[in-house]
Amino acid sequence: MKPNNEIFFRASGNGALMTDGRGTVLTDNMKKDLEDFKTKLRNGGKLTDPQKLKFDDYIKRENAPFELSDTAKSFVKENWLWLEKGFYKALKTDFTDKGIFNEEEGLSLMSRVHGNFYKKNTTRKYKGNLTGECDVEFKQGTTKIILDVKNCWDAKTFINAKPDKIYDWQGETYMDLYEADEFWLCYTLTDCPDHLLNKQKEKLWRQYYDESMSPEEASAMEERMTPMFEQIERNLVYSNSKLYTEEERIKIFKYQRDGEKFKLLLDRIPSALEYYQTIKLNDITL
Amino acid sequence: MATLTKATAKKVTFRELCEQPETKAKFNEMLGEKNGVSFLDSAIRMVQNRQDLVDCEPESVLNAVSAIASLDLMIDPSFGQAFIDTYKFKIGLRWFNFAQFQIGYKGLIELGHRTNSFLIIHTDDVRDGEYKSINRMTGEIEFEWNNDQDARKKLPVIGFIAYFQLTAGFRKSMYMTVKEMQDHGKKWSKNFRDKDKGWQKDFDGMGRKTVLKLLLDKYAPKSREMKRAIAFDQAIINDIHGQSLNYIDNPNTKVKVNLEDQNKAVERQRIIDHIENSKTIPRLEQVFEHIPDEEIRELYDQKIIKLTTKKK
Repeated sequence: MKPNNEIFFRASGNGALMTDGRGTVLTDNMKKDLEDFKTKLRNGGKLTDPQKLKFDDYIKRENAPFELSDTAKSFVKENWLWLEKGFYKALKTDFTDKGIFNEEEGLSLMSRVHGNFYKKNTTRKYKGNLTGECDVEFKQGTTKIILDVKNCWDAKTFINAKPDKIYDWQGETYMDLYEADEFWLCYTLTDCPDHLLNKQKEKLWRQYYDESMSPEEASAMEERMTPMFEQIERNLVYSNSKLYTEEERIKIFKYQRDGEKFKLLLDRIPSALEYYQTIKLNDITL
Repeated sequence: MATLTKATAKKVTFRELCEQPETKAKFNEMLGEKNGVSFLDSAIRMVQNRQDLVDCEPESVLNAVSAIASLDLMIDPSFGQAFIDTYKFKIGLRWFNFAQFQIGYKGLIELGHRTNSFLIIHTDDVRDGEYKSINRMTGEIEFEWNNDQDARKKLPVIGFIAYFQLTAGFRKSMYMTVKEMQDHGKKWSKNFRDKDKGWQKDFDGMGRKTVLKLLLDKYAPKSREMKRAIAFDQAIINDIHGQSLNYIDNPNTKVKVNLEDQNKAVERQRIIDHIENSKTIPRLEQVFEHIPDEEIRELYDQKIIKLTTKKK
């Protein structure tokens, strides 16, 4: 087992450490109810039976020792498998393929629109028990900015794209690792690479085609399907369309560095390390 | 591969294609009225006897047949002058079978003799023990031929030789070992491992043809017909006039997507765009430390001069 100083949690997933475990946390509503119940009791009032049940549960939650959530444990286990056994399973879908394939295209689009030159970063940073490799490290005047560029699959995923808490923590971690002032989460809408575009058409084709078709029938069907193929192109290729400007194919969420917030993440690292040291591949209690 | 013969939407048979007046006119023009008709008849019979050709896109078969006719070679493969091979090829979403013209070594020799420029033009195999040495200075290869024909036939083939001598006196030879020939076949033929196709079916014939073709292509004066034969060889011919060719065997024509190379190319273009679009020196300088080569450095230097002049 690796010693604690050789254990690193990846920035791209360490937001999982910040998720709360079931039965151990008071939500804002619960906190308000608990305060109300306490006030009522202090003033000599009595709780109804359902209120009493809630009160006991909330007190239990309030006094529960901190415990990593299942999501956090699962994240630590993934890190354990990688660091101890070299096991890593990349999620591979057409969506992730486009992200990988169009990484540079996304940067080019942003560079054109912003007039800045964005260079893909290839240096991984390590600090404490955290590690990360941001997409771009960039300086604007005296402000150091970290960019994370995400290529959306299509216009629908782009329009709905918004940051979730995982990105919040990823951004905070990057800013700490690279000593940056800002983190920009950038969503871009780039053209689907040809091989993935053809794959989409082929998938559609296979829904209708069967081996028993004669060449004439297949040709006729292909012709009938032309509008559907064209629609796929319209949905996935933007650079040749007058309906999309380059400016609107970029969406950026900007974050300022927040040391106080980041401290909350650092506070969870000892628990994660403690849990890490208990993991065994064949442990039946985990 | 955009110009590959378009797969016919409504399948016309090869025979129907041959019977069309424009096809007949084209063959008559190439071979004369009598020969044109009999050539097409032979072609129809040959296709009828080969299911792989029946399954091919008829236009591609007709274009391969037309190539043979335009070179005035024998269509019957037993003469060893020309062959028609078949390939499966994907266009868009579907697979199609295409016919591919192949010149035989006897075809090359025939075309060479027709020019009257060659005194000798020959190709043969080389048997175990016959190869002696090569003079790297002159390119002359020394062999000690086994003249006992029966004993020779029992020896393993170790390579192939091609030789020509022009009437003007110039002579040249080329030798390729079996290993070199196999490597060549693997590199240039998609059907190399297909047991029913050229290399596996007739390695000897392909070896002789290949070494002769390479020799002629490199060193011999070529007639128009010879040039056409070499160009047509292993090509899918897209039109009856042989003006448009696709070499599906050629590894250089295959599009391989290499992410690293692509990323480099996209980044390079981004650098060029940035240099061209920069309106101020500080903006331009963002790219300075990432300049990948001299060409872009030159572009950068020109731009910086332009911006400096503008500033003054």
